[in-house]
Amino acid sequence: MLAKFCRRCTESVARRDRYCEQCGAWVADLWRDRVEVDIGIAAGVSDRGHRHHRNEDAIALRDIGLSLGSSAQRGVAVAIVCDGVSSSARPDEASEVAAEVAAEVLVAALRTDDNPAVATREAIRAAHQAVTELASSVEDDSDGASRAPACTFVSAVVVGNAVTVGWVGDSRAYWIPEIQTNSAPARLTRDDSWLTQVLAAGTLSPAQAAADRRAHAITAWLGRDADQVDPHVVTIEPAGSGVVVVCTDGLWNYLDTVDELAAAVPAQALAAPLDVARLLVEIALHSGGRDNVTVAVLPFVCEPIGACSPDTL
Amino acid sequence: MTSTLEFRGAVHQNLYLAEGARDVHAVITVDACGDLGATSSAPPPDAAEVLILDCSGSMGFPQEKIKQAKQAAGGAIDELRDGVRFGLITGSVGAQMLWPAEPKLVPADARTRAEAKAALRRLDPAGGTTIGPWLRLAGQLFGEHPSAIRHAILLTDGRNQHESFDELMATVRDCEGKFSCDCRGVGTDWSVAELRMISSALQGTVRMVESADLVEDFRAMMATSMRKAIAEVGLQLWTPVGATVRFLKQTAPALVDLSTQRVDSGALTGNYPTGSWGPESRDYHVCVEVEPGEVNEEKLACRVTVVHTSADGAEQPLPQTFSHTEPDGTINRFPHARVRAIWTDDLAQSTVINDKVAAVTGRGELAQALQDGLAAHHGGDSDRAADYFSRARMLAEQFRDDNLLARLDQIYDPDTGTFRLNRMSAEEEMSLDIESTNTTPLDRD
Repeated sequence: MLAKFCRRCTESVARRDRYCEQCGAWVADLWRDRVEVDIGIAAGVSDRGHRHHRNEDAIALRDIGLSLGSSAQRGVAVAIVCDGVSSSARPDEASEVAAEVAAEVLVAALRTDDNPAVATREAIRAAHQAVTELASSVEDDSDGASRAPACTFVSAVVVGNAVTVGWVGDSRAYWIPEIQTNSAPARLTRDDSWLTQVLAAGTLSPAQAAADRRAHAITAWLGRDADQVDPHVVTIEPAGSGVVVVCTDGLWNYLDTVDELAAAVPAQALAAPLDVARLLVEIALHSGGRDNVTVAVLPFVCEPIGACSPDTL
Repeated sequence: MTSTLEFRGAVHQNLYLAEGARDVHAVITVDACGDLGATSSAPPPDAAEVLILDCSGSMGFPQEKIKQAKQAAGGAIDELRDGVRFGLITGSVGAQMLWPAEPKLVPADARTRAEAKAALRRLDPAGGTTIGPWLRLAGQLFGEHPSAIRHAILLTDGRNQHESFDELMATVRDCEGKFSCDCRGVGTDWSVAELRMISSALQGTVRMVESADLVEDFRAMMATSMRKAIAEVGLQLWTPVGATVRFLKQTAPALVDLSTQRVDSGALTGNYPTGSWGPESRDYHVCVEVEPGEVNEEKLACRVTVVHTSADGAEQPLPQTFSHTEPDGTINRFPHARVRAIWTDDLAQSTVINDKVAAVTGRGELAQALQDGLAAHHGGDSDRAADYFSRARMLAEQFRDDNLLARLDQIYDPDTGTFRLNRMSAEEEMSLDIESTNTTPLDRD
């Protein structure tokens, strides 16, 4: 059961599917065309885009406070972004369930176990389980082909002096340093996609591969029809302040390289994550908005002397 | 409760309502699938059967009637699985145990079947017909076997005497949920209204049978009953705050309004008992009145779940899948049936009537036209009767009800376009009445 605000009822109501358990109103989509979340230490925007009739991306942000007993001056920020697989049934429900369940599990795990990598893996597995359960009823298209609900997953946890990202599919996370002379901007994730596989195998040139109609196809996702979910988890310890940008392909379709993205992030990003998220979403919309676009921005503030390790990024 | 049946269904409706409209209609088809045969390792379910035979004096006229009734009962006994508890009741003004002698049910085996059939031969028609006591005795016998699938067959050839319709109805209400009852009338001296009232309240069928067909009919009825796999099945309806279930009707295999049988099971849920199920198909028409949403808003008007109610009153969903065809042709399947509403200002969307909703609505109107026609005919108003029959024939043609069309055509003169109502035999009249509420499940497409 997810709790969600129903715009007809005056309070948060339980629901077991897409409808308010009190008044029956459709609560799944109404609020999703444009979602802006600002929790202070992180912010995000999710937009339906110009071409799709509904927003199948989902975003969840959490601030779990200073409970980890670290020297951190800021709370621990958690962001999860999921992109429903359009060819599956109810992709919007899949992404929403995955994001919500993962956020819950991640927060609970971080509160009891301060290893964000372990917590991230646990959250991905729980999200996978929840999306799989959405398919408790068999869902076929008219040809009888299975199309169980499915979605991608990317998460970021900013805690103390480290950033941990986890992902399945082709949603991405980037590290964009505040002062780029300190360290280079970097993509932290590696797409689970046909293109990545082919490039790794070296059988096609990058140009040939990118032109293939399968280029965009993902090779891993959450949901019943996923062969085996193998969460990728990476932790970095940045040498200086910067922001983590977490996004769906609705953004990186238009800003494919890390340099393009870094150039689009304004200098004052640390202080105004919501503005950055809005700006990046606006770029995608302005460039065509072919897909749903979701961006979360998590500032990473380097603690006073000694808190940041000088090596790595 | 483990069920060997799996319920598969479909929801048919027009999702779109005009701005401000409140009534959401949907047809829900339900097919129970499963196999209790050799491939199943599960033991057959507990079952209890009672045969209630009218042995009033009139059953002996003509002798053929009682002879065929005895044979039919014997054939039904042969259909009993070993171990099924059974007993025979003979009814006249009161009710007596024909077999066994004591008021109890006995497991079927070669010996008890032979004894029961021997007892049938001693049956000697005498006295009048008072159905209430027959049902009460059956209810008492079934009371000893609350966890079994409980089914009775009632055969009569006469009208209920010595008690009013209301008294009989009160007895039937008492029996609701205690057992299901298939009713059969032989000859033309029984009352369609009485047997229909009993069979609809007790989740059974009602038919008019000629003496010569009794044997086959009883055998088939008992065979169907032996295939029942689970009792105490109901439809659980969830509706949102402010919504009202205007009606829930079974539309096949017979028209039965279930609305009054609702038992509230939560603030927003109610259970509608549907009796026991074997591998079979039933159709339902639900109408829910909801608070209108704004244009382009969508609401869930009703969620329908097939549930089993255990002895302690707890409801458990049974294995089920309902398919829902979206306007774009996508089929979504959920472990319950969803009836939805989307409000629109586009008349082209909101004025479409789903063809299956139209079919069951038309079939209901057809039944009503026939019954109104028969009532007018009885009241001596032949003009009104003719109007109703014309309308019935038109509806039967429109919705391709071949069974009723054939029956109507027997009394229809195509040359003059009139019905020869005055020459309608009692049998034709009663069979029209009976068949007006017997229906065929919709095509599953």
